[in-house]
Amino acid sequence: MADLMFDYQFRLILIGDSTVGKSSLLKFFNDGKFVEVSDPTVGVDFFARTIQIPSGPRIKLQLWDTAGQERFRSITKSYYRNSVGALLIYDITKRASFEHIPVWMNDAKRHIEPHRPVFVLVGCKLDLVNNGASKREVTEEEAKQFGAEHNIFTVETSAKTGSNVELAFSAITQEIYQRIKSGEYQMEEGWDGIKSGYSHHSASIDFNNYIEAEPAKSCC
Amino acid sequence: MSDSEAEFESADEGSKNEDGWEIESDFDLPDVKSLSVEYKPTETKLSALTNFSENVDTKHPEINDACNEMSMVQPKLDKLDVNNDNNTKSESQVSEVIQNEIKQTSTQTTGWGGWSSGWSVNSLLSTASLLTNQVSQGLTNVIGAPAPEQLASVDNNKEVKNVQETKVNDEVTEEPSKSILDTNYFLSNVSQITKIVETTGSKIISGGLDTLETVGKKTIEVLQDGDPGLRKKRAMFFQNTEKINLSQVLQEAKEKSEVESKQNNQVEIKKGYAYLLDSFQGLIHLESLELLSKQCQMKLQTVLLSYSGTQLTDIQDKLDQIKDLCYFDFDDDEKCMSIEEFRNSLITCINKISTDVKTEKILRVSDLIDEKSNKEFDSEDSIHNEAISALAELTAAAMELFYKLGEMIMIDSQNQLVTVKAEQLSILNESVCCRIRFIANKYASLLTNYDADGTSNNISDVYLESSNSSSYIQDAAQLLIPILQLSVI
Repeated sequence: MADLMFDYQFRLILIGDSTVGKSSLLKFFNDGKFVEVSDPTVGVDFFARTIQIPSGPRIKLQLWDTAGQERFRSITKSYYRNSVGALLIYDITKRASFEHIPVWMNDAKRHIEPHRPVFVLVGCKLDLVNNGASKREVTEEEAKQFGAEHNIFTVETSAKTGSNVELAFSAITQEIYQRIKSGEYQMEEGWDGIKSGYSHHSASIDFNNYIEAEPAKSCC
Repeated sequence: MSDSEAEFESADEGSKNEDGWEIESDFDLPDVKSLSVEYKPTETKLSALTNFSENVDTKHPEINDACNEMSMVQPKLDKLDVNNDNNTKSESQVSEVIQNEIKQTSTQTTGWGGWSSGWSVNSLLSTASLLTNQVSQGLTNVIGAPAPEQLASVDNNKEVKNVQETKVNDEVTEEPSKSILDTNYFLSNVSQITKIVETTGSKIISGGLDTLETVGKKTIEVLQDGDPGLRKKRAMFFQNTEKINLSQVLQEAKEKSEVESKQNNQVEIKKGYAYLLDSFQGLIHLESLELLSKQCQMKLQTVLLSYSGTQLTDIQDKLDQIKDLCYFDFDDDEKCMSIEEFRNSLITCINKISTDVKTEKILRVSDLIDEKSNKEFDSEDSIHNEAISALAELTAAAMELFYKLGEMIMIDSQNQLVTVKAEQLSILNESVCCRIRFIANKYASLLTNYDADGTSNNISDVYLESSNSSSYIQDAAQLLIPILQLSVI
């Protein structure tokens, strides 16, 4: 459950082929649990979690888990526009899912325009490769190379062991925050990609509270 | 999904048309706008030109006074003529030269009151011809209207040549008597020039008017292209006058309560109904449902505009029928639903609409609420808070359910009758509202066991939020209507 106090809200979208593990990744990030049996996502599901950037602001991530199935694509596309970042998800044990990544990426770019979205490339099901249950079909080097070409962060994760799940989300959050600091991203009316949070715009009220608290202490 | 990338992409293209956001770009309004802006300045310049001949005529008496100065202009005009002899120079270039000469002379001499106004008309003319040049160039490029210069130039060239010949003859005879002020000569010369200017002016005016007419006709043509009666464009302009979204209202209510509690120096923010609804993900689902609904509404309007006559009325009847089926008046009955009734009704309804939609979540929420309401409460406030939370949670779950239904109806390939779906939706809507009422009643009866000062306030608060919940749910259900309607077309 998302915390009430946050400085910014980012909307992120998870995209990739069906059954690569988008929902499982998100469920682990959200609940810290792995769900053995997962139904295919219908349309778009929502999750929210607040994370703290080290010595930085608190950020509420509004996460949109999209259905990978072809029949939902006309619906999922509607959600691209209001996202500031996209997690491109593929299955390490399924070559085709990696090969489709450029298609997903271009789709997102096209729909998020005029904003330049932040991408991270996330490989899933690392545990299956590590315990030998499945054969690896996408090498780490290939993914790294793709990441270097497009200047995006890459990571291999497991929603079962939780390995690198946190890292994937904090990397994209940090990058978005950097772009806010550099002035590339601004909050805009009519665009929900980035919003300022509650504690952000009521800083002056906090200040008043602080002033009032001071004399009370000196009294005693 | 297919493994082949080609298929992947082609399917992507296929679904493009279904994407409501791309419909907007179909209208070529910006182009049309730029066209209409372009021809406006020409119009005003041309209207100034119609006064031209009058202007020149009235200036005639002053010509005598200006004879001295005219002799200075003469060599320049000669130079002009020489330029004209070179057929390579185009007319617009000539007018540019004239303009330059005018500028020079007018800056050199100050006592040209009458003339300068005459010249300024001339410079206006040249700018006008330049402008029409630009416009007509744009036009020939864009819509193929003939340039006014072309229309006028054929006759013009002949005239200019004739005048030049006579001028050259005149000059030969006049050359020896340089210093003599031959008023007659200058008068005739000037009137010749004004004649040329006049005819050129009228040619340009008539040419310009032709162009304007062509522009106007073409503009209407472009606007109406594939859009008879401009219905699509009208629909475009009027759809923005919609009422504010429910999700926005709720969002604002939530933010307001947050700020208020913050101002009251409360350590813990009071968890009001709107806040709870948001934290149970009610708002985000409502917002998404609004997005889908709006998208379908836009598509629906576009589709409707392609029909006319009896076909249109048939379809509208069909759409109205769906709308009527979805409607129900909740306030009229006092029906409540216990947990079992709710479960049965919900499952039957959902299965008849779309089997892909999961009912587990809302049923789990409903069960949990029931469980909580049966436990022991230690204070009146805790009952009140639990009641508000329960209402918000069930409402949020209903929003999610409606949203999922909307998604499934949008992409549904099951050949279920839309009228059946609409009927079931109405029953479903009623069931959720009945369940809300049941919960409110239960908590209200728990509250009546207390007899404190605030009890009646607490009870009315619970009923208030219960009726709010019902109206939110009904509003959310209404959002499904365009989605259902679109599926029959």
